[in-house]
Amino acid sequence: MVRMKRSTILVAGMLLAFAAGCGHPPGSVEKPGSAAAPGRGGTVVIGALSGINNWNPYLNETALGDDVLSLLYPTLAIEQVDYRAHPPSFTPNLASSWEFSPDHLTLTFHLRSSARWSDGTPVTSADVLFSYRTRISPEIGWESESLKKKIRSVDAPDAHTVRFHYTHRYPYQLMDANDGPIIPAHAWGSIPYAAWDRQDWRALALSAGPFELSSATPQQQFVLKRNPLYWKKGRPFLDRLIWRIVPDQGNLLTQLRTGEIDFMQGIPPRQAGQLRGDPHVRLIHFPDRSYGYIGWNTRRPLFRDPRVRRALTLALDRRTILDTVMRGYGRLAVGPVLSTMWAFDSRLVPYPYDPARARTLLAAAGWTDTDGDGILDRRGKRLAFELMTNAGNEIREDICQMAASQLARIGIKVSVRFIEWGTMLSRLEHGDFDAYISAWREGTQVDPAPLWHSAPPGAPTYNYVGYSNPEVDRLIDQLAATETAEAQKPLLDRFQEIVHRDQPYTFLYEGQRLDGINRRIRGAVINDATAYFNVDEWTVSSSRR
Amino acid sequence: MARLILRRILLAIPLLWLVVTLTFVAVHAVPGTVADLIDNPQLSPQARAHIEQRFGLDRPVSVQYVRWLEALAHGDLGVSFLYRQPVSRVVLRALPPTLLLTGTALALDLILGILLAVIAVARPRSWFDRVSTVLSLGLYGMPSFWLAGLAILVFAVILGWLPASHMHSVSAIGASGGARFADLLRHLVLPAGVLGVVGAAGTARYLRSTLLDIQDARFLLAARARGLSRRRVLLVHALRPALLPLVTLLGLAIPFLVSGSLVIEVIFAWPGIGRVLWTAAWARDVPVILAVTLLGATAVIAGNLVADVLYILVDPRARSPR
Amino acid sequence: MSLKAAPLRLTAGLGMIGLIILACGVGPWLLRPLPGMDPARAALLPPGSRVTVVQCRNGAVYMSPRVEKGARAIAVLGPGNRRIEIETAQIARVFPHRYWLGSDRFGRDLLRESLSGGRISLAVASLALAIALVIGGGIGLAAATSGTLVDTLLMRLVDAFLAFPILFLLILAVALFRPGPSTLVVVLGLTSWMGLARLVRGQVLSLRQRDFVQAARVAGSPWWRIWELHYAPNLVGPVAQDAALRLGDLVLAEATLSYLGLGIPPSTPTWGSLVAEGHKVLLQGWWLATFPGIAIAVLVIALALVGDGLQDLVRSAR
Repeated sequence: MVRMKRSTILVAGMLLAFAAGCGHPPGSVEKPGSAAAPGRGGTVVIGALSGINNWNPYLNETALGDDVLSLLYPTLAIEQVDYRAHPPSFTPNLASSWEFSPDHLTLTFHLRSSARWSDGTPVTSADVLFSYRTRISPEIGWESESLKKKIRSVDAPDAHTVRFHYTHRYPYQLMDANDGPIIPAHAWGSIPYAAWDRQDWRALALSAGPFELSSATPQQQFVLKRNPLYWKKGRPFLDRLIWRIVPDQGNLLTQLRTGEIDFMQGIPPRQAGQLRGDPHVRLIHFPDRSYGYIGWNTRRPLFRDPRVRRALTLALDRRTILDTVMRGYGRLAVGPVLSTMWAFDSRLVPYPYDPARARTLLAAAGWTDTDGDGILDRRGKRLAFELMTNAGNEIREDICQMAASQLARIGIKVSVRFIEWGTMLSRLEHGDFDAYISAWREGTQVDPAPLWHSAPPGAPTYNYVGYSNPEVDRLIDQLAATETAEAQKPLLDRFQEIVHRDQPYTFLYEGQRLDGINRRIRGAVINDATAYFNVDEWTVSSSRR
Repeated sequence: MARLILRRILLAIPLLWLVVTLTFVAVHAVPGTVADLIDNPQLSPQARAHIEQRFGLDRPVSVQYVRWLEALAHGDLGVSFLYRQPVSRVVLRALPPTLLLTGTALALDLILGILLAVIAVARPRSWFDRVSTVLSLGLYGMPSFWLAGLAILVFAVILGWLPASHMHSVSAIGASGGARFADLLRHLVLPAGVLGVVGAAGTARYLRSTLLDIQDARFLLAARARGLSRRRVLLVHALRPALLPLVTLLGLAIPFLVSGSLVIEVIFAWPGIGRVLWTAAWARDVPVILAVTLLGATAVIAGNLVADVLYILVDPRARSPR
Repeated sequence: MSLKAAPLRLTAGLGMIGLIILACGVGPWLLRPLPGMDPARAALLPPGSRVTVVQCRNGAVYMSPRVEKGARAIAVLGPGNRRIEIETAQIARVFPHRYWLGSDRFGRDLLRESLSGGRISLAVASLALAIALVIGGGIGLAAATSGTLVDTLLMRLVDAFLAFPILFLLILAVALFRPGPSTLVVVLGLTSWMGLARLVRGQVLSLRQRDFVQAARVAGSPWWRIWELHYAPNLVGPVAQDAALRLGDLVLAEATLSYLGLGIPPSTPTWGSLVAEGHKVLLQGWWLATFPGIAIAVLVIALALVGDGLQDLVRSAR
């Protein structure tokens, strides 16, 4: 199972839609209202592999939960998908407007006076303050808590105004304040945090969004129904959204094709061919802000030399891997910043597939086949290592196999190992590996620190490969002190150039997400942030088949 | 009798303790905790520490163990790391679907198994005997997950008669009680059918060989000699002793009721205990793993006890020394 | 009636097992191994498909349904049905291959995979059975021949192990530890000895009461002589019968765990993992789940026949 999971910044903060005309033919975007007159009513059934663990958005841990709970507990503003040109902009949601103070250290939100909870209580600044308290509460241990560390304090001059005070100016102030759903203070505020783990949040659910919770059966399905008190008049068009939990990918796809479900996310590229020519189902694909890579443990003598790492990249035919394993859905990855981001250094190009140059580089590093056994060696030691990935992820298993057979061609012996996800993560954290295949999903906030800043030995870090470059460390520290995105860009370019040269990872591909949607659904805008970006504008053209 | 039951219940407590302790040790011997599974670069070390603190994972394992036992003594199974809800609620919500599935399967198993065996033995070497012997042997050898796949392919995909997964269809939401029940029954057919048929094959094989054994027994030959019909001998005289081991089997089926259907639950998307454990094991959700193990062990012990008690009730000879 | 059938069933069962072992043992040697495979090069070919394998000097391998031979180059169909031309000088080997049972998604020959997978399935089940026999037999004998205290303690241990919800334990153990053949052997072995312990203890205790053993003891025969003459021969039958049936259960257990993705990773095929792979593509490649599934069923049935036959022999010996 791919677990490039939510990272709140990533998913909750990643509410970006797919702006039409920004270079990718998503095939998904059908202009809202393109149907003559949007029909009202109707039900859409959505298939999902697993359900929602908890109906409190601050206790839920699943990506699906983030998407669905954002329909009940919305954010103040909505992040847009214009991250190709500049850091994402925002449109009003629960907040109708906002402005910065002249020194840019205070951000004031004005709440929408027409917004109400589904029990009739207005949404007020008390809700925002309560939500903020919850986010930073150590007892809750919210995953994205650290995002708030640059926020000094939050206060509310009146019932419809909230002010965020910052320690310093930086490009993502609005994003950080907005990150995290707004929850009802009047209903939940009296429950002490210590007791949150024992509440039945399903029974306490309210909504300030387009839909409200109607019923839920664990491991089976849950139903959201139209929220009549939703502030946007006349929306949503649909009466009900039903999520069916189908724990098997193959079943899910079968049900999509038979019309039992109308929509599913994450179709494996291998299966996508089945949908070609299907009269009822449309296949949608778009970059999903993730990249796959092979990480080389730079602490191991074998991978300490950047020449060896570069040679490994050159020896891997990444285009063929992309074409076979991903069936061409994706593009070659270049470096640590996605090529769809404003921060991407467009001067960089992927290394070519060049086994001859790889051999030369390896020979320069001292690796030659002296004993004629077909495997390179140096001072009596063979060039052999273990490449691991998490068992059960077919894409990575296949890449593992292909990489091993490609590297064998230039005389590198790779033993392939598939291990259980938790065990693999534990080995990564302890630096107990040679090389591994995994993927990261990137947020819209460009922050290289967690992955690329060197860490003292033993400290918890996501820099699993132990990459350490003093100049990169300095650049990352400078980035943190830089006030605007424009000023950050040259620093980011230099950072990408160095990582590209050093190749602590072999960057494999930038992935795409493949979704299937029944053609009877009109007006859906599906994007890499959330499938339900404009769910309040979805309509259905006919009754269920 | 009452003393026997009491003694066994007292004996069960150290047994259960042993089982959960071993599980506790095993779970903690494994690398990775629930906090390690959060593969999110935005999670700062402090936030991670908060998560560990919240779940008590920052304490030494021995302290975690004592705390867990203490809470258990007060009837508290703790809070699930994954669901952030009381474990008892998570487990209790999954129990009824499992019981419904395995209970139906067990009933099918016994009815079908006994029927097959009795008819086969009543007419040895008839075509029915041969067919049922071959059939039960074949079904016995088939892996249940394979049979399940086959059943889905034939009945759900090709013929389209029955639903391939879930307990209810979408259209049953908000339907009347009767329609909902009919819908449930339709969904029950395939999973319970596969479980029951595989079980029945084993039961029939077992019962047939026991019946044949008994048929050769002297008292039955005597009964035959008295001129009683073959069928009467079989049904009245042979079946009763043959049911003795079946009663034991029934007691031992109690753990099956709780835990026996994991594979089928996974294949048919049935929302039961098996899938709860399945998810919990992957997510390192220790409290849920321990609770489900405890439940399973309790079922095994209770099953043994019930089997013994039934045995004594049916066969008074067993009451003497033991 | 059952007596007459006994030798027949026993012979049939043993014959089937012998054939399976022979096929799995020798088969993979006889069938030509296909060179290092890239996934999706020749994915999911139906039974009977023919391909031409082109092996290049740089190690690349192409499997193509069609090959056009030119003067200086060979054209093959590469991934995504792209036409690829390879210079003759680059080619190491060209040979035809026929997939009698079809191929899996890695382009591997299902016949060969099933046979070598059967080897692993059989090996895992047999080794696990060996562990169970050693532990179960040892504890059973120890309990039967020791004093009351040791006997009670050992039997409580058996109870504790029986009280473990075995399936849960299996899943837990394999989910938590590294999946692989050795883990599987140990886990399966450690969870299937209890029945044997009870059986052996019961047999020994009941034999001790029998006249011929009592007589031998009174006559002053040394203990090893009594074991050799009386206990061992009378233990072999029931234990062998139990072992045959248990081996069938172990084969099924291995298959189930591999099916659930808890057994042996799909890079090393076993019957269970082949069926699991097959289930994912049931509609596109029915053969992938069918043949290994039949293999499992045949083996388990053969073992059941052997078990039944042995039981009848034991019965008639009484």
